[in-house]
Amino acid sequence: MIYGPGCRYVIWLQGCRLHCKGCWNKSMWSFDPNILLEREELLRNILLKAADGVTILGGEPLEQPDNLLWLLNQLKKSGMHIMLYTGYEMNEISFEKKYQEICNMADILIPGRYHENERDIYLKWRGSRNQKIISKDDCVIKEEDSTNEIEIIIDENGKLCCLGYPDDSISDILSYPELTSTMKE
Amino acid sequence: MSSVIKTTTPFISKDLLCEALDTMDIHYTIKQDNIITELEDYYGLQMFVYSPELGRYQYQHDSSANGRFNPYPWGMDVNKWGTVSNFLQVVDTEYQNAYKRLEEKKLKEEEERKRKYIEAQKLKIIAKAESKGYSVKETRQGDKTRLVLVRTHY
Repeated sequence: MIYGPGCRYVIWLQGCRLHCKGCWNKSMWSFDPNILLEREELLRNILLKAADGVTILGGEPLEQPDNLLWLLNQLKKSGMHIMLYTGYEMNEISFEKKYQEICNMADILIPGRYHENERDIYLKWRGSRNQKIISKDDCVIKEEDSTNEIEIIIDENGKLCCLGYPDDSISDILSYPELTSTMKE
Repeated sequence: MSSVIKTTTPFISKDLLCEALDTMDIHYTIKQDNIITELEDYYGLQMFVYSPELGRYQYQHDSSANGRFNPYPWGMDVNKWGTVSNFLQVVDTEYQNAYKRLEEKKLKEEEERKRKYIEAQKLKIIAKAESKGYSVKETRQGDKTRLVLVRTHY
């Protein structure tokens, strides 16, 4: 719901060199390995989950073009719905054949840098107003941008994970100073 | 010829040792740190004596009660076990069982404490989110709780 229509398998790919100002995912800028997974294993995991679709974000997904292209090809063969986020603008994508190939495989593409000064937490699936939803299925983008959605996952040990586009009130909601400071970096 | 020498589990905990004896239906009295059993031999009542130097209990008994005479001729009530060694083997097993029960109990208590904490944490988040104008939908994903907060802006 937070990252696309229906129940989705969400993958954050590590590494980004775009470094958008105000990015909330700075921990994913580094190209040092985070969780290393064989792509075949990842594919198996995705297909086992029987989700409505796969959403790929980061970091910057296009920083791993070869593996991503392989993965999307495999997912397409299985008829999986694909949603892809990228910080690259459409004109930048058009210069790179592999990027184009990848983006063409996405059923929903959300391209463009995150612009801090255009931040809007009530946008559907994206963080700033300059970012557009490009969809092969027009109906999904007809919904109005008026809802702020946040997902909070409490794991079996009480650890919290907050996803989505929270405003400052989320720190109060979570009462978690260490998490809040990470988010405000 | 090589030999195999085995010792019993070191009896460190008085509580566990007493629980083991309870399980075996052995009556005892406690004097200071010593556990005096109802089992008797030539020298009197046998007992577990705590040794601060060793940090554990040692069983004090007539050495002749350890199989040299079988049956033991001086009225020791160890017929059920035959020898002191056999008796201590059973104590050893029951001591370990008591330890396992304690571990399970502690684990269960810890799990319960964690469960209560997580539940309270969840309710707190929901209450705060609702006070900020979010509607909250809760679902379970295996061991995890998933809260979806939605706030619509008109």
